[in-house]
Amino acid sequence: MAQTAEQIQRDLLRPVLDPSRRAKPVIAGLALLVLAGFSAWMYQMYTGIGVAGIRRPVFWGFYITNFVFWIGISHAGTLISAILRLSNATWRRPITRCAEVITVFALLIGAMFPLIHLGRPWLAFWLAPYPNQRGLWPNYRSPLLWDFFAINTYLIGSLIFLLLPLIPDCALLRDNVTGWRNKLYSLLSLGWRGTQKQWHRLEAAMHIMAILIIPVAVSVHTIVSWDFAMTPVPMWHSTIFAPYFVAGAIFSGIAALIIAMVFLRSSLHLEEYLRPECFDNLGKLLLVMSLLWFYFLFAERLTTWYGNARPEIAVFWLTQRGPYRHLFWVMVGCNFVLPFPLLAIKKLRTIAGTFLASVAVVIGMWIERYLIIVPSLSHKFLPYAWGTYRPTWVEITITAATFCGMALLYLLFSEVVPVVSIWELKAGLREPVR
Amino acid sequence: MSSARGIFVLCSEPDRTERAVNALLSAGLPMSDIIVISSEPLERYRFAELKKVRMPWLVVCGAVLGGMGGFLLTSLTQKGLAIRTGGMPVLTLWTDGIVTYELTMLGAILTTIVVFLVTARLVFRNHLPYDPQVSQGKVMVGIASAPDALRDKIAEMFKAIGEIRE
Repeated sequence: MAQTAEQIQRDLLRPVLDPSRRAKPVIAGLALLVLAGFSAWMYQMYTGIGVAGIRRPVFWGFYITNFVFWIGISHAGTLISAILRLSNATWRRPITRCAEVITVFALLIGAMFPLIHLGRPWLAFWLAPYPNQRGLWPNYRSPLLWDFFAINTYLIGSLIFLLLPLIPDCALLRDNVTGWRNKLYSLLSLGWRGTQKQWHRLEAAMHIMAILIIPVAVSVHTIVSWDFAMTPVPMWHSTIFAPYFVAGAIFSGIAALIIAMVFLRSSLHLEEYLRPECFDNLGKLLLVMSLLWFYFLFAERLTTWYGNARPEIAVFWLTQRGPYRHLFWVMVGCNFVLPFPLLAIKKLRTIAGTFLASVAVVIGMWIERYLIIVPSLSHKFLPYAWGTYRPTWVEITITAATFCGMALLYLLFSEVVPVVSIWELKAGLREPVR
Repeated sequence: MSSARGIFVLCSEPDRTERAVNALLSAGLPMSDIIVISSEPLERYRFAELKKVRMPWLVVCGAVLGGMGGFLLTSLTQKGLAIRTGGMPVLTLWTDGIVTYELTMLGAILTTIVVFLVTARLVFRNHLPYDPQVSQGKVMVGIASAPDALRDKIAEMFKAIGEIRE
């Protein structure tokens, strides 16, 4: 552990003041891949939504899978950070900002998918509630409109939750740089001086935000789950969906956080800050969520099997023994069978072990979202409405580009501001370890 | 230094800060006039103890306003549509509740940030003195406008503590 405040400041400002040259080719490569995704989207807009694989009866494919997946990933940050802040866990200090950044970027990426899915994104403003000359008002009974309110509230809240503790660190940067960067950080620090009154207000505001953001985070994924549960489609119309989605979102979110931390640790040389204890504690949380996910999966599957309703059981067997069986069992393997021993056995719960488990969980949770959406839509109540879905290169390119986009945004962020909160770590030096 | 009449001392460590604060208090200055500027919160020290803030209550007010706005938005919109419901209620309270809830939380969140910016005196033009050495770990203690009668006495006391800034 770094012993002095000076050392903390020097180590954590280094990536911003003296960024590594190795990052530039990586940034360029990621930017190219993101550009490929944008090109695919432009091609879809120019040619029409028909270039995507979504067609009757599967109108929700990769795009909505990605939407649900990225909104889930966004649960990592703000929720975990808020819970750890409120419980005053001292090991949270190096990881809160890493987590909060994931939330903001994942939400931005996730919120793009309904626009991509629309086909004509320039008409997206029709979703906003405003009176218009055609006398059309948004339908407040539609879960899609609830999404609009929930995601925007969460995005605004998460952005504030990220930016508030950034203010003192921006002030620190302001005093350490010159020229245009000094002007930029002066603007970002909002005239911060560091009086005791300002610190007091900042901590009070952070405390209140931590309390507010938890119910908002829970409501967001609850409402995303209601996009499905409010529809009479086999295996969607279920009361378990809301908690199942929230648990799944936290699960995938923690996994994404661990992956991001591993990359930050090695690329920015933050070994003394993102210590094995952080990974060990997050690994334990991931283990709990893995068990909870399996519990929800079992409860959902058992209830469907026991009920034996024909449309439901048809989808049930489609995913377990039918054409989707490979994906289903890979999902179970990635979300439970592989992470469980890696996270439950203390010797295996190392940085490498938690990283491996997290990669498996992210893959498994993406497949889970796909399996919720596609099999149910492809096999609705009557055989005339049955169909198949195959993603096209456009959807695959856009999907791959969003992962690169996430990495790119994260990398750029770490070059502009310290990815570990300096003032919180310094304050932690004077506090007994819990 | 931006303040012409103020007098400050740069302390190299928080314990010296406490000495500087005590020196100002012993000179008869009230705690409310004393300014302590640091690059980290110094909650452990007596001088950092401030009165409780009213922020939570203002946030509750913001939440109530947000919730009322949400309810009015949904109810007025639905009534404005003049839809024929065949005797069924025009307002769907269950679903309106979701939008009302989200806007309640949004009201609370926006109030928090506004109250923080106002009470911490950010964004507005800040006339408080500052020294970039604060970013290097030093703590700045002093008063923004020192009475002339006490000025020399304070300067004398500060000399023993650290570097003086006027």
